[in-house]
Amino acid sequence: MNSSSSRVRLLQCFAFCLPAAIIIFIFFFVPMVRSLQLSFTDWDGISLTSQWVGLDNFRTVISHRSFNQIVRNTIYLMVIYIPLLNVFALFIAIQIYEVKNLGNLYKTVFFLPNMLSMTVVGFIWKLIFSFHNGIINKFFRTVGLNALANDWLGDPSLVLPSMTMTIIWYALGYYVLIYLSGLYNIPVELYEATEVEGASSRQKFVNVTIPMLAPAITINIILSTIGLITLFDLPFVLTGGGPGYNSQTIALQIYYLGFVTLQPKLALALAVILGIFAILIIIVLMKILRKREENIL
Amino acid sequence: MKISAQKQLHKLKILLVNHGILILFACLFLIPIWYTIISAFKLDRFIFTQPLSINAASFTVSNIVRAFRIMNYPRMFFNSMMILGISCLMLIIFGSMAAYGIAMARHKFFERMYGFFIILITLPFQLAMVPLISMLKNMNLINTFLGTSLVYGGFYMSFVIFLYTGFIRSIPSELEDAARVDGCGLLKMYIYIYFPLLKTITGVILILRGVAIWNDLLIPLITITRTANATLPLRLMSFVGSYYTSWGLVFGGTLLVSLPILCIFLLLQRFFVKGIMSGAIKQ
Amino acid sequence: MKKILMILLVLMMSAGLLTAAGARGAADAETVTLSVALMSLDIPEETQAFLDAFTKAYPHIRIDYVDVGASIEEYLQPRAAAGLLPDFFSINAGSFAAQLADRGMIADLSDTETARKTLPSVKPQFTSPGGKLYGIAGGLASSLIYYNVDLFNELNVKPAENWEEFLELCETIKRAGHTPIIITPADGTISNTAFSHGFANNVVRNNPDYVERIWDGSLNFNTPEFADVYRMVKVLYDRGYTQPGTLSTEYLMGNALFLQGQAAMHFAGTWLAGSLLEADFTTDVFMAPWNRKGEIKIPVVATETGWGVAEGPNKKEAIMLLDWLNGPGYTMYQNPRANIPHLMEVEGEVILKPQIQRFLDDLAAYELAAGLWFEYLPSEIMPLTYKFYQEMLIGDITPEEIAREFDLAVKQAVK
Repeated sequence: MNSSSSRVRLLQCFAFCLPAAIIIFIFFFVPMVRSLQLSFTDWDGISLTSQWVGLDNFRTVISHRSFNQIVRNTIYLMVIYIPLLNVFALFIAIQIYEVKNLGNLYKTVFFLPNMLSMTVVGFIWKLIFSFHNGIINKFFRTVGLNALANDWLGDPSLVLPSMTMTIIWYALGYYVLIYLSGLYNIPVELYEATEVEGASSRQKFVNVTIPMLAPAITINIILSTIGLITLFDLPFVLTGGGPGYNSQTIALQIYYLGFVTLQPKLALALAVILGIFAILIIIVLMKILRKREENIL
Repeated sequence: MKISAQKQLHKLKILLVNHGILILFACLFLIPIWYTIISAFKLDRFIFTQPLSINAASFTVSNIVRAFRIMNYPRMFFNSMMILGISCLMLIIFGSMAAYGIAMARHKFFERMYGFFIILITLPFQLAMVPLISMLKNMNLINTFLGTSLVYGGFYMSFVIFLYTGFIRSIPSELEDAARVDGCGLLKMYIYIYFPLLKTITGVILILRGVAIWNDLLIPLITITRTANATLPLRLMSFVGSYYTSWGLVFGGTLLVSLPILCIFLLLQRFFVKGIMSGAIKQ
Repeated sequence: MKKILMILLVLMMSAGLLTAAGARGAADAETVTLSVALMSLDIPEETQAFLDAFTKAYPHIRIDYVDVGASIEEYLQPRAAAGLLPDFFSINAGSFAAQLADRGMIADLSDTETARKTLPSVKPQFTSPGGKLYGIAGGLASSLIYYNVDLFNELNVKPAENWEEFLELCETIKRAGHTPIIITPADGTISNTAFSHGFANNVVRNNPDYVERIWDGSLNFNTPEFADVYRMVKVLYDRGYTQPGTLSTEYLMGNALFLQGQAAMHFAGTWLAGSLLEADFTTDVFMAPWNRKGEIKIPVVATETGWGVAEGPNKKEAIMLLDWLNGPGYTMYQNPRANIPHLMEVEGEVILKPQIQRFLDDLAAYELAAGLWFEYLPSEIMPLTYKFYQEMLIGDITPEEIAREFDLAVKQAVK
């Protein structure tokens, strides 16, 4: 192939990318860059002009008396939620894979919560967790386990686990489907080969299933991390970040600064911090997961 | 003889263990759903006193009827459908084209662009939100289906390109060589060979992003200022957030908003699983 | 099959685009379309009927109405930033709206017919530092203590007159095995109740010019009196006078609990009179006794969410709607809520609960009154106000520390 025809080809390829690139550029990238600029100004969210104030907004956001707790909550949720969600989703996916019959029904059941909007999920679970009228406490009281009837969303030590449970309930189906498709993609011959060698089911799981699922695991971990980092509507309705700041996350704090305290310049500064945080986490995860995938293959 | 006995045993194990586990968790998962559905048909004052059951005294359809009327359901349904349709069309056509371009080019510049798109996936939408509003206004796109859809396009396109690219790369390059021998240009190859192959992953994207767009609140909240142009979740939110919430109304509205997307899911379901399998997996 | 679906989709979309374009074309004709954003989900049908009646009276004005849910500020803020305020909207007294008014985005209503009829006492709350009347109060409001009369009779107790009596009352009720009072610290509503009354009795008492002093930064919040605004709730909580699960109880659940008879008293707004006074048991109200023994009470008298008009091409028509609402349409919109009138005279008959009427009559005896938190605190401070209650109740912070932090935050905000 000569160089001019390859240039033509590249130009054609570029033309294919153009519509998408334009949409992304105008409707996401440009406003984002504009936000980045505004986060260095004293913009009040209403006027058209603003003064450059350097890193002031970032300093204000970081020096918030609960900033450490907010970051800690975000990391806590990540550390608890992401492994729990993925292990549980994989577990359910394997069960569905093995039963064959009724698979579609189970899939639908686990995907049902996804059909609700997060605001509604927050609202429903707030009622479910309610101390007096929630069905969880009603259940415990009915079976005589009064000691287990807790103030699920009001107790600082229970609120994050309760929130984690709610998010898992909401998100699980999505990840089950991705794992399940990964499982369907494993050639049956691989299992048969190990069976001939007399491998136990545990060995099959460790030596065949997990390595073959590596790409699905990568996708799911990354998707769930991004999803969690940017999640705000569900916690907002469920707990509003309370009690105190015990369930406040960075994304929730951005929402508060932007729409409750009406300090958009601070919201933007924190959003920039969150964006950098997200990119770093994803790069690290990609590195780890890619390396693991390569080791396996 | 022995083998069949083993098979029987295996079947029994599946029946007891796997189905047992699944049914247990499925029931746990269904309790909140059940709670939502029956509360939609219950008079307000019974929602707490008999949370999981319903009888003739507590039954009512007035929640559904009232929610239907207050939400102006037919109009909002149409709006939501239009936004969903335009956004998905845009994401699928332009997204697959871009992924195709990236995958075919095999060039450093395109790799960089791809990396840039992946970074964009991780960024929270809130970051673009405020300047976006004034931009849309200047472009006269506020309160239009196209404007709202373009915002979804900008925000979700990177994710769609990410999935499509992974899929196209997993297609053996022999296919491309063969097509080239036949004298197929890039465009022809896209239309007649690649796009039909993308059917399955397209199903994946329709579900993953379709559900998200249908239920989304944040974007219509800023791109739509007139009720006549509002979407279903936007109307539902005013129930949830109100100081005077009637619980039954929220549940009734929830049911009405979720039903259409459930139907779409059931239609696309088989499509979806096949799709993920060959698509997302081969990164 | 798929092709047909595709064609249908394309048809649907082009139809949609056409109708959208058509709608815009029609709006350009002589009729004016007013965009109206109201917080009125409690009375959706009545609001629609009210607006329909208005369009009937003024056939050339069409109404595009949206209900904004719980937070009008959250709804208006991004729209104000984009210059897309609705023509007519619900608005709360407070710094957010005042800011918009002084930038010329919200119209000054002082020359309107409605403003002339409005009680002078509810105008200052809606006046911006620049002197603009940016809203008309939607009624008078306060928060008070609703109580279960049947239970009070059974226990042979009476409403309290001051804080010390109130604690005794709670103790008696608790001894008898009932929950004395419901408070709602899980969302901002505790600021309407305990905070506003605590502030009135502890701070406003000695600082009648508190609004000006907050704004010029000279009011000191770092005082034992202000710490008491928080400590009083801590006392109730620590002694077990509040409902179990206090920390997760928000507005809606608090109301539900009281209506279920789960507590003897409930601290809530007058705007709830419609539902709270219609429980299965007899209910009545009394003024929150947040005053010490020997002191007279400082009542909280504030404004309901009111109405504002955007500065824009449809200002004239929006003011017509305002005047109609406060004239012939008053009873249609205000009576279903049993709002306390903000007008010197009302066209038609006002319907008030007798309990609320009695409370109003009592109010006349007090010389000094205070507003609700959102009428005087800068918007940056608002979430702090109730978050501090939560942090205090879980033991993360003491009332003294709150006073110190609050002082810093307010000074920072007004700077």
